[in-house]
This record gives sequence, structure tokens and C-alpha cells, in this order.
Amino acid sequence: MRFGYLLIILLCFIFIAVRADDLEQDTIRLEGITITGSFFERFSAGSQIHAVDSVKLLSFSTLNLNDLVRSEAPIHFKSYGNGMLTSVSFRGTGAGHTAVMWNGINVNQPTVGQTDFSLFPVVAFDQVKLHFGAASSRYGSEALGGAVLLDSKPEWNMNKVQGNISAYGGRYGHDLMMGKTAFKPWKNLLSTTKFYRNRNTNNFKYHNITKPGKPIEQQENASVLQYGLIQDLYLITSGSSQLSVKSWFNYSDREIQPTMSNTDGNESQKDKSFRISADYHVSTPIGFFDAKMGYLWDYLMYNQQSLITTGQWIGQLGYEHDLAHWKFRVGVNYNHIGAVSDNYDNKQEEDRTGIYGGVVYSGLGNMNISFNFKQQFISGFEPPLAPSLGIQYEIPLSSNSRMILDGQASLNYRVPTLNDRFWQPGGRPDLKPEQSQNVEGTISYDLKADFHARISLTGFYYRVEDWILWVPAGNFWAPDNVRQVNASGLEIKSGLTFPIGKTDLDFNGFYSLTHSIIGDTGDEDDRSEGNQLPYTPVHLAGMNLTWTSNQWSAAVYGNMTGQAFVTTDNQTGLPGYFLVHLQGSRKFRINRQLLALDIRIDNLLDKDYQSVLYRAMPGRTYVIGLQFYFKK
Amino acid sequence: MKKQSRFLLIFTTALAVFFSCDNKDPEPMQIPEFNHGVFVLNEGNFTEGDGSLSFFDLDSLKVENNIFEKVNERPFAGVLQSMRFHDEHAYLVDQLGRLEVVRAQDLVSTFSISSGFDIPRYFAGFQDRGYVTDWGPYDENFANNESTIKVYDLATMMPMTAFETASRPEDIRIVRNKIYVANSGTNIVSVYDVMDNSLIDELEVSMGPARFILDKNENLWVICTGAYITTGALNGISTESDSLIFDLDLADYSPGGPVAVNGGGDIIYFMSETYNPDFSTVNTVYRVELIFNGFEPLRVELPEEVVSGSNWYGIGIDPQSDVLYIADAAGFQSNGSVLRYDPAGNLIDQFDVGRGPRDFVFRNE
Repeated sequence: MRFGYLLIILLCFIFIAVRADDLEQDTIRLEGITITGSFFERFSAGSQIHAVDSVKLLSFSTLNLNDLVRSEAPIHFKSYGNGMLTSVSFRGTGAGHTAVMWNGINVNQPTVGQTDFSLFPVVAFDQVKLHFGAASSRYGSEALGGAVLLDSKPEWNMNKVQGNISAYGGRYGHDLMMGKTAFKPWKNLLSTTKFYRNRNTNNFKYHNITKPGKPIEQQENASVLQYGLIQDLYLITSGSSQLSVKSWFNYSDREIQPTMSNTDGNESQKDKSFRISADYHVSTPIGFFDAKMGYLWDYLMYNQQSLITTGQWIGQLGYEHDLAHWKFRVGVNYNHIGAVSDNYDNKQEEDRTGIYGGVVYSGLGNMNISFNFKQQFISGFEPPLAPSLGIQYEIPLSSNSRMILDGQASLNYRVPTLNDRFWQPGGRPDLKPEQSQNVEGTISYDLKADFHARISLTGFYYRVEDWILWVPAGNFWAPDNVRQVNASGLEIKSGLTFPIGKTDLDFNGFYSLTHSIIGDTGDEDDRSEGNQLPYTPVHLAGMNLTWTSNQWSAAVYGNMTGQAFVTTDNQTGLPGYFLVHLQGSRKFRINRQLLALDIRIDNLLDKDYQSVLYRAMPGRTYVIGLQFYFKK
Repeated sequence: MKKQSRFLLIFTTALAVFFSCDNKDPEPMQIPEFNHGVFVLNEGNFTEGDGSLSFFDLDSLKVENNIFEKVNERPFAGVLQSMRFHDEHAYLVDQLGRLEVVRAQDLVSTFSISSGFDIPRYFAGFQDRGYVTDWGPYDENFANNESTIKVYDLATMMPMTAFETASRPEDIRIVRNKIYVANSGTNIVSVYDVMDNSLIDELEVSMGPARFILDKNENLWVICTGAYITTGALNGISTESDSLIFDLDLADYSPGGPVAVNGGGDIIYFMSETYNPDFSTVNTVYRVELIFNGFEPLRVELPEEVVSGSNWYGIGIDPQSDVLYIADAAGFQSNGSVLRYDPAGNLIDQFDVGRGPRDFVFRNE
């Protein structure tokens, strides 16, 4: 009876999802300014940081980070195919305008200044947070639109050994395996090992709209093989200090999916990366100290011919202190980058040194004020000072409801990438950094009764100057500081959780409206001025509905991507699309162990769509798998 | 409880209604004939392959964009490098590895070959055979040392043979039963016998021969873009003796590749690529007058500036009116436009075309 009732509700939602689009996400608010999370969060009063629920993280373990983020918040991804190059756009900014922080280190590839989200499987992270809006004062260069914070997290609350292993198979030659083992030999030592392997032939069928009669064809040359290993070690060295070493190796061998008209393509790309970060932090009577050392190595081989490798050393020191209503932080960081490419004249090296500081003042009742700054010194560059000022004001409305007002203003920048400066031919060492000014404000409402409802509305405005673009320069293309962009927009995020008997129903919806408008180009023949940036949908929306009980869980995700333009004159459009994904799982207890049957259907409506013009995307696909959880 | 469910339903339904949208079908168009006008080749952006074809009708003075798609109900969807007419057909080369064959008068597709190419560039037809230059694959040093000319039987569009040429062949012309190939990765114009594809000669020209034009006496002129854009030259080749008859140094003019000839076959136009101190591009169209004495030019006048602008990517000359056509590619960020100038350099008009216009092909039947 109860099941039938739920089934009806679920079907209703599927129906609604079919008609609609929108959904998702709850903004988890920072709890004051206690020492939790990274300093990025502790000093971000006034900013919007959203943490992805850990249960959702688990249920997206067969997917890449872009699939997770897109179902969580109005953030756009541009994808050259399923598992192919995928770049992010926060609030209508460009692909290089998001800082991707892995355990506090920016892991954007220094050659292109961005991250291919297809190379980041969700299973590699214990914690995913999304920082909306510019924040160069905390993350440095590139954080013009936002930041993605990816972290490993120790699970101290366990016995000696626990872990899980899963295997999945799915449509179009797709199979996955992954596993995790946590081992705690002593009370103060924890080791976590994870592995994953994902193989996808991607030989899906699609309507080839570039051929006469739009025949159904099978996608060729789009197979993906990816595997990786993660090893984290945590050691509590005393009651007030901890050492951790986190490492991640990722390997990916992909064929590059050609455009629909070029069914003969045979290009390929191999990526390898190794990342390691060692952190030590200690709490003393005079304050909190932390130190970090890291090394990043990236390898990219294109067509078994053209190789780019980069190595980066990272060092950071920070000091934090609380004094009455004040919280201070100061720090320095250092980053040495070396890059070797067939397309650079020599090995290119760069040093980046930064000093930064932050203050939070909470002496005004329900108000928190944060101020942060970062000043970087980069070989051959003088990036501007990046300050930010944030205010958070909480208004209790009743014993169980409150309203929060947030505001932030900041100056931000992005330095040109190594390719922008050194690529031969075209690279220009004397490019200027891109600069931006941002303001944003948010009003949120939160009600906790026998259900929990929250809704927030954000308005933002920013302006980017000296935006770098590659444009034709005779026989080759070259970058230039050509563009100016004025953007404004709205974000709505809402969530509703309520219990039904012993089960939970959770609804999240989100929507964003983004006008990223190209400003004066100084060329009167230019037809870009006043138009929306290409590949930047004005409307994005999503809706999630999740139902969980002890044994069962079911979720439906709907995602609407509005129409985007391909060119800056806004004459060529790429139609919007609405995608629905379903997920269900059933848990079985076997003695003390747990077995789960998990199924996921992507693109349930079998929608034909393209994220990038003429790159086919798969229709309805599914994976089905078993997860086995063990503990001792 | 019940109240909550109802609220949820109303809420989600409202969202559903708010976000539902409908798709509009493109309007069908009547297929016109393309007999008197100019085809504008819009290269398209490389990563998207959104090349297209526009047609500016010289009777109505109206432009029709995306004509390949409108006629054939599918987009060209490639990087449109070149278009050449031969007999009753036009041959469109997609750099991404495709040759599209369409009927000349109405562009209806008759063949599409999308296998066997690496980086095809230009087409030339001779009787029932078609020749396509192909850079071949890149090697580990980003060089192309396996460049070929691919030969097709135009009746069946089956491949007949392929023969090697020097690195990065661009333009190809067949004059006096000889195949001339501009090998842009070298300083060589190769000459082959059209009967058996045997190599007759390798003419040494300046570095980077790219595009040919024929003057009124069937001398072949090749624009050489040099290594990158630091040098350049205009070389004249006698197709009778297969020898270099003129070498005009254009190092001071940085020719970018586009070249065209007037209807009289005695004025060559080329376009330069230079930079302002702030790195914005400057493109200047120059004219070079050929003074003939008999069949071979007596002398070549120094280049004379006609017009200049920026973001220009291609030029063309209407052989009937000598009107100058300039393709403004707008940095490939937006769709491009075409500017028309009279021979004195006065702007006549301008119209919008597709993305990355690069070349013009005139047709008057």
C-alpha cells in the first residue's frame, strides 16, 4: 500500500519532469566561523558555497564530475561528446574562469588554464563543494566565475577495516569497476585506498543530421578507457596536530569523437596525471598553523605524436588566530611551473608567489563581515591586487525559521595561460591579465518544521576586461586581449525535505538567468557588441526528486539547458535540451555486510541533442551494477 | 502531509509549465538556380565544423546564406576550404576530410566522399578525372611529409590512384595538360604530366607557395607566404617553358595568402597581414599591375594600396565588373560579412554571410 502510494507519486514526478525542467540543490550554509572545512570557507562570509550531499556523491559514483555538478546547480558544461573534453562555465564565464581546487591546490592545467571535467570521476572525491562567484582573493588566478572544491576526507568513525567494491555493466559497451578500502591499524592512523576503472566504447546510435535523410548511424572513434588510484594517509600526531598525505593517479586513453560529418576521424588523446599533497596542521595557544607541499604532474599526448608535460611544485604556509570577535589569517604560497611541449620553443618555467590575508569580524550581533586579499607575483607579470569584501546578516524570523542576507564585492583576475604566451606560432608573452569586478547579493529563507524548506535568490553582476581570445592572424591563430563582457543574472535555488513515514522525500530545484553580454570591441564592423556570449545559455534549470528508505532509494533528475548561440552575432543557435535521468537501488543485508543493486538510466527520453555543434551525444543509456560493502 | 504533497505538485507543475518550450522548424525555401552571382565560402570554425556556403545573386543583389543546407536539407558541417567548378559539377573540399560533389546549377548533392582523406585542400578537374591535394597526416614534429594528390574517376567518384608530392600541397591547377601544385610547406611548385601523373619538374619558388592565379596569357602566378608571415613573394611561372619569369619580393607587404586577378587578367590583387603595435591585425589589399610585352610580362609594377581594414580573411574580384570582394571573418567569433568595393577602392555595399568567409567563386552562366 505504502509502496503503491509512492509509486504513484514517483510517476507523477516523472511526468512532471517530462514536461518541465528545473531542479535542485540546497545551499548548505556555513555554520558561523568555527574551524571546519578549509579556510576558503571559513573566510567566505557573504559568499555562496554549496556542498554536495555525500549520499548523492555515492549515487553518482559511476559518472564524471560534470554530470554531478550539472544536476546540483545551474552551472553549464560544454562537452565535445560523452567522456570527451568538457569545460565548465559558472555564471556565464568562460572555460578558464573557474578554479578547480583539489585538496586546496589549483589543478587547472597550466598550459590551457582549465580542467577537462571528463577526467575527474566523481568516485575520486569524498567531498565536492561549489563556490559561486568570483573569488581571486582566496583562490588566486582564474576564479572569475567560481570554484570547484574537491577534497579527500578521513572517516575516523570506523573499526579496523571497511570498504566497498562495485561492478557495473551498461549499454553501448560500457563497464565500470571501483572500490575503496579504509584501514585503521591504530586509533591515530588511517589509510584510504580507492581505485576505479571505466571503459566505454561509446558506439551509440544517433541521428546524423549532417547526412541526407538524417540516417541513424553508429558513433565511431569515441571510446574511452580511464582508470585511477587514490591513496590517502592521515596521521594524528598529537591531540592538536594532524599530518595527511593525499595522492591521486589518473590515466585516460580516449579516441577523440569527430564531428558528425567527419565519420572517418581517427584522432586520439592520452592523459596521465599524478597529484600529491602533504598537509600538516597544528593548533597552538598562539594560533593555528598549517603547511602544505604538493606536486602535480600532467601528461597529454595527442595522436601519439604531440606531447605536453607539465610539473608543478606547490608550497603553502598559513597562520590563523581568533581574538574576541576577530578571526585573522595570513599566508604565503609558492608555485613553480615547468612545461615542455613540442609547440614551445624551450622548456617554459614560471614562478608564482602569493601573499594573502583574511579577516572575519563577528562583533555586530548577527552580522559577519569578511575581508580577504591576495597579491600574486608571477614571472613576467604583475597581476593586480585581488581584494574582496563580504557581509552576511542573519535575521531570525521565528524559533524555526530565519532569513539570511549575503553580499560580496571583489576584484579578480586571470593570468594568460602558458599556451597563450608561448605556443608557437601565435603565443604572445606580453598579453595582459584579464581583470574583473564583481558584486553579488543573496537573500535566503530557511524553515525547519516537520519538513525543511529553503529557498535563496541571488543577483549578480560582473564585468571582465581584456578577455583573451584566439583569433586568426594570417596563417595561424593568436591570442589577444580583445573582449569585454558585462554580465548580470539571477540564481534561484530551492529545496524541500519531508519525511513520509520512515522514508524521506527530498526535492531540489534550481534556475538561473544569465546575460553575459559582449561589450564594446572598438571595431564598428563587429557584430558582437550587445550580444550573448557563445555557448552560454540564458536559461538553465534543474529539478531533483529523491526518495529514500532503509532498503530502497529512487531518484529522478531533470535538467534543462536553454538555447545557446554558436557565434557572437547570435545568428547561429544550438537548440536547448531537456534531459531526464533515473536512478534506483535496493539494499540487501547479508549478516553484517551489505549488498546493493543499483541501476541508472541516463537520457530517459532518448533526446537527440548536442552540447557542441555537430558533436553527437548518446540517447538513452543505462548501467546496472552491484555494490558490496564490507566491514570488520 | 496531504497539504505538502499538493503544494509540491502545484509547485512542480508550475515549473513544468514555465519551462516547457516548443521547437520551430526552419522554413523551407524554394531552390533557386545559382547561375549569375558569387559563392561565398564560409570556412567555419575548426572545432565545430560549421562551414557553410552563401550566394550573392548579381541580378537581385541579394544574399542567401546556408544554401548548401537549404538545398540538401543537411548542413555542410565541415571546414570549407575550397570550391571549384568542373563541367556540370562543383567540388567542395572540407579540410576535415571530405569531398562534396554537387550539381553546378542548383547545388543538389550527387556524391559525398568522407573516407580516404587526411587534410584535403583544393580540387582541380581534367576531363573525367578529379585531383585533390591532401596534406597527409601530421608526423611527430607537426610536419606533413606524406602529402599526396588523390585522383578520382569523376563518373563514378571512385578513387583511381594517389601520387606523392612535396609537403603541404595547397592550390592545384591544370594548364597545358600539366598539373601544377603549390607545396606550401616547401619552396617548390611541382609539375606533373596529366596523362600519367609523372613528375615533369620541380620549380623552385619563394618559401610557402599557396595560391595560384592565371594571367591573360596563361602564365601562372603564385603567392608565397613565406615562413609564418615574415617574408613573402609573388612569383610568375611560364606554363610554356615551366620556368620562373618573375620574382616580386613582398617581404615588406606580408602577404597572407588570399590572391585574385581581374577580368582582364593583368592586375593581381593580394592581401597583407600585419600588426599594429597593440597587436590588432591590419589587412591591406594591394594591386599589382602586369605590363605585358607579348605573352610574358615585361615588368611588374610595385604594389599599390587599394583598401585596408582588419579581420579580413579573403578577397575576390568579379571578372565581369572588377568589383573587389572582401571577406571579413570577424575573428571567427561571429558570422562574417562581405564588403564590396569598386576598382577605385570606394565601398559599394556590404552584407552578412556565414562564419569565417575565406574565398569567393564567381559564376556566370
